[in-house]
Amino acid sequence: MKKFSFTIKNFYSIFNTMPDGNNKNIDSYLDDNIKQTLKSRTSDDFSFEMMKRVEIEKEFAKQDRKTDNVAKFVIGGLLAAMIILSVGIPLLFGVSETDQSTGYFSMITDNLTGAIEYFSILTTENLGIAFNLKTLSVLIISSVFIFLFSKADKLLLKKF
Amino acid sequence: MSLSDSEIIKNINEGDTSSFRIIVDELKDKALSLTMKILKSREDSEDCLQESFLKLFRSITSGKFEERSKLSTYFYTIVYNTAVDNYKKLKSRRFSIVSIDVEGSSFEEGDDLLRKYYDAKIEKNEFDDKYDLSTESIISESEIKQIISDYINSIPEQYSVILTMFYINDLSHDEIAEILRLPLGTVKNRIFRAKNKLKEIILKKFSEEEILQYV
Repeated sequence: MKKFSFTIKNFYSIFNTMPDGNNKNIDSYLDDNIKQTLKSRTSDDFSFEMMKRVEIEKEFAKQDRKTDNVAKFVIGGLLAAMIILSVGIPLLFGVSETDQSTGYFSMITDNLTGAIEYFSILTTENLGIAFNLKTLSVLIISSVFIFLFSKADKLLLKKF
Repeated sequence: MSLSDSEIIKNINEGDTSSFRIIVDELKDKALSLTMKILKSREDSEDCLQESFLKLFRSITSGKFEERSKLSTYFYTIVYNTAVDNYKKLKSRRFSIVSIDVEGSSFEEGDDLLRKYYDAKIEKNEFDDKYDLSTESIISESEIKQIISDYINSIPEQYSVILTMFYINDLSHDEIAEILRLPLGTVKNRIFRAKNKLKEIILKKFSEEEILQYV
């Protein structure tokens, strides 16, 4: 036996007495269909492949941090050496009476030259390497290059 | 997402990458809908999506994402910008090698996607001729769905992208305007016009009663 079903939407379609309601219903019908049409699905292994790339990315970040730490250690070491050279050694080997009268900064620069000369004599005597202002400049410039290279490398790795 | 954005970000920063998978699973399909509207090709769209997820991961781990907006909104901004960049790269590559690849796209040679966002209009009768609008007594729901699908797939990208952001990515008008750098009124107007034109096409072919059978 055929069942008679009477739903509210049939009521609208038969009598058409609620234009505003119809309008809303059509709007929501269109909204649902627009959504269905716009939907896309990624391939089944997308998440798996994505997470593999994320793990690689994480490993890269770890390596970057290591490189960063090494660079910081090298730069820190050089800075410490420079401070020792400029302040520590002059203080260690004493300051002359005349130096004290010309102010602290001129004392440091004067004594830095003296300290470098003293260090140069020491390295020449013991290692056979002449250590002077030029050598120091080369060392500083090299460390700056190392620092810049490591930063640039990091940036490039992130970009590609 | 069952976990809040903050909890997910905290977990990722503590080294728990499985939390990132929650984001991937939640947003991948919705974001693909957006990239597909710009890049058309599934392969290019999935590549773009992977690139976007990596950018998001880096932003989270580097602390660049400051939770000023929702994580999903921030991600869709990345997706949109990456897709536009990739579109520009692919366009120049494709046009220089072979032009057949872009025949399916409604972009014209030399067009700029962003500029077109400002110039786009749905011409009044542009879509009417495309469909047979003569009234038929017998209709099927699949026929209506087919017309809607054809319409959505044939409207200019500057409309379909906004519709995707609104209907699929669940972005507000304000968020869409911010991502696309368009005035709020333009965004609202485009959504209204695109939908209204579709309604007009459907109602020319079918009566309200016929459509309401399927509601």
